[in-house]
Amino acid sequence: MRFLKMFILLALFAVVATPVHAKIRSVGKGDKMNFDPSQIPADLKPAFEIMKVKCIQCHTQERTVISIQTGIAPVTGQPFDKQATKAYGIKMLRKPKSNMNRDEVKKVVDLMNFLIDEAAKP
Amino acid sequence: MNKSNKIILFLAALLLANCLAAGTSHAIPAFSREYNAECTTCHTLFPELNEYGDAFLKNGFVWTKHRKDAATPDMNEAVKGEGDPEVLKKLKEIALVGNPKVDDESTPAGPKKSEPLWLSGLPQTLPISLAATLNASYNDDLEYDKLDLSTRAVSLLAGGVLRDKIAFYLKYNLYAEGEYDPAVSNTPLNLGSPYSNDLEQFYLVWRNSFGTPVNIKAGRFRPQLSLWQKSNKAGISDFATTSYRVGSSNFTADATNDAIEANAVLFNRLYVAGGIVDRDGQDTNEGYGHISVKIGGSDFRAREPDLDLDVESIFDYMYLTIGGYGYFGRNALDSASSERNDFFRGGVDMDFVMMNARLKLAWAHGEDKSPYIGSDQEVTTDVFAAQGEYLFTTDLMGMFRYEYQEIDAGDSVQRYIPAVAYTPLQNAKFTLEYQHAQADNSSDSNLFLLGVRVAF
Repeated sequence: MRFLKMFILLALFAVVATPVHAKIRSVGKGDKMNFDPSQIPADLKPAFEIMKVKCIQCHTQERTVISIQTGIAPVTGQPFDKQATKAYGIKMLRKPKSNMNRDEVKKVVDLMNFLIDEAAKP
Repeated sequence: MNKSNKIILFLAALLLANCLAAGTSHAIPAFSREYNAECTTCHTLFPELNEYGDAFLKNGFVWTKHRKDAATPDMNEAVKGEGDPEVLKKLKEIALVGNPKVDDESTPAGPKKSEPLWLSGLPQTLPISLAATLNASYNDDLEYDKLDLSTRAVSLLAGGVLRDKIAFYLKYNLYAEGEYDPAVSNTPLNLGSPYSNDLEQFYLVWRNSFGTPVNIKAGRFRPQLSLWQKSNKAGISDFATTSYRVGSSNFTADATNDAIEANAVLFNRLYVAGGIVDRDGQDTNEGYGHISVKIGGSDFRAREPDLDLDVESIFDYMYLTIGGYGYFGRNALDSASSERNDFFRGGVDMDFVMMNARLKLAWAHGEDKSPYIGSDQEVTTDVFAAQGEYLFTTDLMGMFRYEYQEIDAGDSVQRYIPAVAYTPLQNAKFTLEYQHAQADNSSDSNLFLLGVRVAF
């Protein structure tokens, strides 16, 4: 009986957990969560370094990881697609004291677009 | 120990607890909890709103949907069944981002949404928070009691939205310092009777009524007049343009009243509002109107401008909002009196933001037929205020405000108000303010203020 309960619980968990994209791997948990660096191509490594330093000045990297993995921006509940990455990039560019210049924003937007493409792969 | 001392001790303990928990603390008032968003999403230094907070307020506490095809990558397949498509779609979205019944650390966190709560139309979190203000003031002009330490206000705040259709907001003053009287209290805060120990605000907003862009707001609230309402500030004192009084009239443009208002965002960058007010001491309903337009920056639905990331332009970092308003009213000392004061208030505001700097300009004009109730003396008032703000860091702001108030083209007052605001945590703010006033018919006055405000 105990085994059955355990099985049902695991099955329920599997049903609920499946919608999350699995293509984009993350490392760490909670505030320490980040994209798995091994899946970032060499030409996007500089953008990844910018993201690691600049984005966490105001929010955790977890927020970005979740947005890419689920396709939904956690705060607004809006779709997080390539249209959204540019809009967020512009928002961060205009945000007072975001400490990001145009070139850095453009690189990070390109990186997020790459990650979105990877997440969409079957 | 009396009741007041206990409250002060309680607040001091809370403040201390906040400071000690600095490493893990988060901004947690009602909206922050409900949307899992930090305070700076909507505020510069709370409670002053940034352009996203302003859009959130204008749209009835909802993050506006930017596109009609708001489907997520995993939600594109057809929804089967005969149920309400909107409900089914929402349920699928809830399943996608997580269910609070499953507590698994390997599942990415996110806005955990409860299906039963959503179906019931309930907010996902208990939408209640508290705000407290402690002030210390030093009034060099008083002969006695120059230093005044006191707890100015403790307020219960609640706000949220029910299924994106009905928004609500409540502010109940659990405790507030009594009516402002310079001979008794040094506070320049406009927290006097009849609202100091009462329901300051409670209103409902029917969002997009009848499927139109028009929101219907009803209850007790501050009529939409100026661009910046009373609480929308980083400093301590209020703008004279909305807080000044004339003669015996107790009317101020930033007072809360029982009212019904219709407002709408049109063409994404135009905001209009109009309403009627039922106020104590009047014998007929009063009316007001507001219009504002935003140029540059994100629009009133918080949508970002489509900038070219390859081309640098200084205009990308600035925006301008211009607003105008008018208010017609008639009041008396009490409703039984036959002596009435017909009055008008009008004004123009401008809000200009460029990167870390902000300039607020406000002009208000007043005409009162007999503000000294019982006499027929007509009074015309003009008030001008200009405030510059600069964000040195994300948690430190410097401000300077100049105010000029002229009553009946003769009696004038000028105020010079520098201030610094610092938020060691996003939900705790220290503000230091100095006021130097020069009046035509009296000697100069000086007032030092230290304000501590926490919201949790």
